[in-house]
Amino acid sequence: MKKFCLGLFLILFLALNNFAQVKKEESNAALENAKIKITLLDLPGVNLEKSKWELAYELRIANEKQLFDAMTNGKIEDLNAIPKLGEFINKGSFTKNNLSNKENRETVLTIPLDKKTQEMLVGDLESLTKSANLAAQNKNTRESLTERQMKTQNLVLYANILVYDAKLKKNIIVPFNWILPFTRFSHLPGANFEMTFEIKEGGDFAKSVVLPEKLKNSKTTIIKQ
Amino acid sequence: MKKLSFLAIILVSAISVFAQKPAPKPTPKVLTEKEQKLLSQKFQAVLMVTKTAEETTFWEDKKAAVEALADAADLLWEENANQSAKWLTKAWNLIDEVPESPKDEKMSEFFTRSDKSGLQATVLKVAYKRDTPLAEKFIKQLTDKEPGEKKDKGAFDDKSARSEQLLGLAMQAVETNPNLAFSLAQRSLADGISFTFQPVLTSLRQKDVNLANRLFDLALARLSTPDEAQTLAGYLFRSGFNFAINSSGGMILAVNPNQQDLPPVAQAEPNRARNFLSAVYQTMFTRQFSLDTPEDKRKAENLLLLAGQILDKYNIYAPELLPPTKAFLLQLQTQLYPNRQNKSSENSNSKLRDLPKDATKEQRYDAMIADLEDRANNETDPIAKKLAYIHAALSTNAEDYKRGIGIAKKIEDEDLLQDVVSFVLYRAALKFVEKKEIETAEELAPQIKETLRRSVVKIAVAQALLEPKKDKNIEQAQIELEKQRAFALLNDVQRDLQNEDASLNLIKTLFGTTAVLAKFDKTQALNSLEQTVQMINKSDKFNLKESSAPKLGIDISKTSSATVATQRIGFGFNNAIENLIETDFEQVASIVERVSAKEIRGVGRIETARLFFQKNKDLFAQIGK
Repeated sequence: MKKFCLGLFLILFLALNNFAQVKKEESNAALENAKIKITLLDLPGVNLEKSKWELAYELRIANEKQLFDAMTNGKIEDLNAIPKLGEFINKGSFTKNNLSNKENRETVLTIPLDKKTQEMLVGDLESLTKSANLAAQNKNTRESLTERQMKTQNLVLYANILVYDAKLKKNIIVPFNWILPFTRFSHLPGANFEMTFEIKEGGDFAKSVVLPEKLKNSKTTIIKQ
Repeated sequence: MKKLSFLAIILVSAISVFAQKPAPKPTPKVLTEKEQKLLSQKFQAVLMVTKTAEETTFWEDKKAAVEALADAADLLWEENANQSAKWLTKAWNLIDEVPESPKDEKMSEFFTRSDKSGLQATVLKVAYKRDTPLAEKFIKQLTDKEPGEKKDKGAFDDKSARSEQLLGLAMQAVETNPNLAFSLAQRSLADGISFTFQPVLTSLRQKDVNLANRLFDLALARLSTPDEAQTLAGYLFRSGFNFAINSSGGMILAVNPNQQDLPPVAQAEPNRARNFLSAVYQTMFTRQFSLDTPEDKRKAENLLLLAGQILDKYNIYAPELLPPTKAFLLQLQTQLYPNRQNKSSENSNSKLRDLPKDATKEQRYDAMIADLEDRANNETDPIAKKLAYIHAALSTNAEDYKRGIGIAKKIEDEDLLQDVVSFVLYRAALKFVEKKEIETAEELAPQIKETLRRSVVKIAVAQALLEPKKDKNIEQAQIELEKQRAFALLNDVQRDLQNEDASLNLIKTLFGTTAVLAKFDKTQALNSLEQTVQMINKSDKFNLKESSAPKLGIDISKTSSATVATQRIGFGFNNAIENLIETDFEQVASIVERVSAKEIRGVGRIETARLFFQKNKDLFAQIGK
């Protein structure tokens, strides 16, 4: 019986260990890219041939401490300030025409993440798990929470969208800067984010980041031109 | 039937306006035909105002209703003071029902003005002009109210909604009633020293130095924060200027152009300057402070800004406090910016920076534009690159439009490129009109592809051609020729505008056309006015009291409109009818009745009546005699 018990425990242990390894590999594999989906929901001149939108972006990564420092220096409100926050990941741009076609009103940016960035994100996830375990055991101290907070990673999207609405006969700039706390989206495989924006009659615009179900309400900002 | 009885009520009340007026003793004077016509027109004007005031009850736009009631009360006060006081009280009470309009995002960092404060000032102005006890009653209601906490304040907002109202009114009263302005400003101090306190104090000093000194002393006694000190420092040392720190930690400045060139008060009041500097030192420069939170940091930045502004004044007015103030400033600087770097090394290739010290103004301009163009050339983000080219193109002088266009042509986006080129040409043409180089402006006009900009230039050229000639040697034939050129230009404008979609800018441009046409062809002007009313009926709203020029800047450049030469042509309803009201009052009144939105129609009636009363003031006085 003792032998059987020991064998079962080992098998179980090995099985668990394997499972954990698979999960970690899956997680790492999923973190090879960040995916950002951006959708133009509507614009007055959507069916007009000359309407178009152009996006130019730069993706960076910054930890909570860098954000906190920027905030106390009054730089957080102005994401266009130079130097930009955190470390560079990737940049790019594109233009989309023929907006009556729904496919041209959305895009998915697949941005490869280098090893260092992947490790930072994995570290963030592990730190989150550790902190959650400590919290379950009621062992979280002020120091451990501060340490955890400072390790939290944020993807920082610096972007501008230039829209030409042929009905309004207007060029409209939509500043599209977002700070995306990585672990808030960690229930999704990999680093996936989704944003929307729309141009309203008169040229005002609204933009939102679609938060995971658990956070429900998306953050919407309406700007009057 | 309901409509008929309503009309009857209005007619009765209009007639009663006259009935209540003390009946003049019958005189044997026989009125001329012209005078009879004028009195009949006056009756019509009174009826228009009365009808509008009565109708405001049914208006959805409460803001317009308050303004209309206050205007109606002011216009007809001498005819029927009782009725007018009722309208004014109704206007005052209606202000509570006016919803706050959404904040102007572009200006909210600086100011967040409330519609209600503006309306209260409008009503109070009429009340003070016509019935002081009624005005005092309104003021008492205002001061008995809670201060009204302002949320999301701009850097130059007043301390509370109450102080904003009191100081707004004090500003209006200072010219005619300095004692009242003093009393209102003093009452505002209950909520602290507000931003508007400075212009009130400066204006009051121009009317009554003693009152201004008393008010200053009262304010100094309650000085407690750096922003309050900025307000008083501006008054003493640099009139019309007020500095603050914005949300990003940058310095922002508000300038009052009407007060910026006045001599510093401190020269005439050295003791008050000294008292002020001592008070600032005692209350602010001797305290310990922390920088733990962003709010702490903001306060410290404001303090540093203040210290920097007034440091050299200690040398003059309170030299014994200079060394400790300097020490404080240094300590604060080190604490706030421990790793401050020299930012000037960021831009390594700068033609402007490499210029010799004795470089001319032209060389500096050339180098600055070249730097901006280089920055755009080197930008790798495609959208930022376009914005940088726009910035460089718009930084050129208006007359240097060829260089501006050359830069704009580098924008890799056809629509944006055309927009910028059209704007640069528009700005240049208006500058040439301002400089009386009419031919050059006329040559540029057809090159402007955007219709409204081209139309405004043509209107400005036509206006310039019709201006009375100072040179008496100019032959009549040439004057006629210029008239014909102006007429042709305005014809072009009318034809072009027919195909444009209804918009605020289009309506303003049409009013501008009417205003110029009315100077030499009243029939055409009335046609144009009618065309404008049709456009107003196609759009949701329009304020007939607004006469500013159309905003035809580049959509994505917030400051582009500010670089355009100001035109002397008015683009409002009043400008359009100014030259028609004496000769064609009935026609104008009849066209106004064709406005379909009741609020716009009401404002149109009141403005028409106001102008009619104004233009015929002397004639009415003569008939009265």
